[in-house]
Amino acid sequence: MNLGFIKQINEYVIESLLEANDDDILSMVDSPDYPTSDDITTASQRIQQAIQEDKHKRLEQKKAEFAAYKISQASAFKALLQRPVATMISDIVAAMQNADDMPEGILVAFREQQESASDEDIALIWQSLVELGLIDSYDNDQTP
Amino acid sequence: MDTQTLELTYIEVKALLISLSEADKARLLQIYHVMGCEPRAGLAAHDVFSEVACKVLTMERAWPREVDTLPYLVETGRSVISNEEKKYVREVATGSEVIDGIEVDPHAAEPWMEVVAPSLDTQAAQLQADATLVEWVGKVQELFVGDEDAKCFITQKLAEMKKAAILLACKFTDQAYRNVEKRIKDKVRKRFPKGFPWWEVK
Repeated sequence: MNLGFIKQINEYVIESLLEANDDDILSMVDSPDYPTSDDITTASQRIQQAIQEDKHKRLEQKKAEFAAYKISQASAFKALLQRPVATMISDIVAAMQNADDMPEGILVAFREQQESASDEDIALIWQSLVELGLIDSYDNDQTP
Repeated sequence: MDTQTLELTYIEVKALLISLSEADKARLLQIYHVMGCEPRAGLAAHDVFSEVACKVLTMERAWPREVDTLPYLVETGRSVISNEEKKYVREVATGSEVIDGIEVDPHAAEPWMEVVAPSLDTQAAQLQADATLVEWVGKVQELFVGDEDAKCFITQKLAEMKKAAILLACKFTDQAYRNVEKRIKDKVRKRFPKGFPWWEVK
């Protein structure tokens, strides 16, 4: 019973600290039993430090993600340069045979461009399918 | 249409931390003291501050948009202290030392002590804790000697009465209840700025 009351008194102290106006609080700084100016300076430094550390961590994470993306792009591009257009067309056709996995947009684009597609158009569609994982860019079996 | 999410974003959290005033920092440091950061968790108030800042920045705990800055940082600090206290107690409880290659628990009792000593120790500790609590309650009551409303409020609180019962017993209006409660809050804060170390008698 008394313990509950004493805990309630501590909660009252906390509520009063939250409700008191800024001047009242600042007038207590450096008084006995209250934080010192040095404590407040340290707290400010700790906040800055936490922000810097977090910023650094986020930056490192973004860099790692970007590096991984660049590696995957470079691999796909390398494969693209090595693969003849005729092979790319067979890759696309093979991927289209599994039309369930094929996004509708790509399907329509390929059908529309079938008649007049340039080598660049074919390469672009082939690259999109590689990025979607529908064509394996490392698969050299079909390369003559 | 309201496109805001229910929780604050990282940018908003960071901006709120940066914009804390000197008075807010002083409040939070003092509140972490009142919560017993050092004796319970072995953390200085600015260490709690640091932990709280890290926790909110990593978005480990979602910060609901409707919760104000200070109450959120107070509750996050309470959770940091409570979690650290559990770890701290575990470390102390499992503390052991090695003598001549044999691990010895310095707190282990002799076999004969287990029969007699624990109950005596427990009783003595309980009596001591009760006496300390009575002394603390007395100190609070002394602050309101000439204030009949506050005395009635405290008597009811000691009897664990809820607000509705206190309104009846002390014949308070809702406004009178709030006024008395506010008077008590401010007076105990000024007289006992660090509150009472209740964890010592838990």
